[in-house]
Amino acid sequence: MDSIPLQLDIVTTEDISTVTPIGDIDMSKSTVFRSALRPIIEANPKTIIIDLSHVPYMDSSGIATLIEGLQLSKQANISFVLCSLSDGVKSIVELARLDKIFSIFDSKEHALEH
Amino acid sequence: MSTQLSSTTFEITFASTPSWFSTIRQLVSSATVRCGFTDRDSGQIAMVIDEALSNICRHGYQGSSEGVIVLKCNTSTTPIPTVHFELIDEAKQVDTDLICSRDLEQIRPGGIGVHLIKTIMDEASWTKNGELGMKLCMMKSSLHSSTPITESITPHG
Repeated sequence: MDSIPLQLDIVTTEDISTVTPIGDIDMSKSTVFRSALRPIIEANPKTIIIDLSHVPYMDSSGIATLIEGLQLSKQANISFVLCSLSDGVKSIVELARLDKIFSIFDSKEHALEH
Repeated sequence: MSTQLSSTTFEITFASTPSWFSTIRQLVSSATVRCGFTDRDSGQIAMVIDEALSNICRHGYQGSSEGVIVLKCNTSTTPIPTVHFELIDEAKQVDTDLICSRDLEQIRPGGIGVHLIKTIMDEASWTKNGELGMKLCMMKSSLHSSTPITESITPHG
């Protein structure tokens, strides 16, 4: 059984918040991810970058959290972008046909430049 | 293990708690790789099992970890790598006509689990398991591997 909590590294500068989850995001972890995103959106930065380089696997509950984050960010006029998707995450994003909905960058550096 | 069997079967019974999901994904992924599926296909098959388990826990047992889930798996290597699954629960029974993919044109959180199951697997069918619970039977062969993202989906298929 997996009882390791989801680790989230959050770095906030004046305009940009970068969220780096570490580990698989499935039904047992997505609630923590969702709870962490809310106050970041409410702080109203210009850009939120979700760095998924350390997420080998994400299920539909993780995807739902990202969609919710995107929608709340749009309402607040915040740019919400994803970067560094692993093959596992890329797979579910494509299968859910969300690769055209999200702004996705190969690296955090490219996301910062956008 | 040095002996190569053309067919392997396992069954595992576990509680309806998401803390089991990671273990089950690893088990399914290992079994399907050993059977001859690519890493990409094995990852997608493990994702399907994970989505099916999430639905059982969320909708069947409604978040209770007191329930029981049985996963039966049969892999065969000949004539081509093929895997069959049965997922059996004792949860609230649901009308099988209501189990359908949602329209993906609507961008909203939730509701893509059934879409993933039907897209990735060659066959997936839900039935009531006698008086109590549901049974989900699924099959995938390597003949239809690495589901292209452009594949058409029947919204209520």
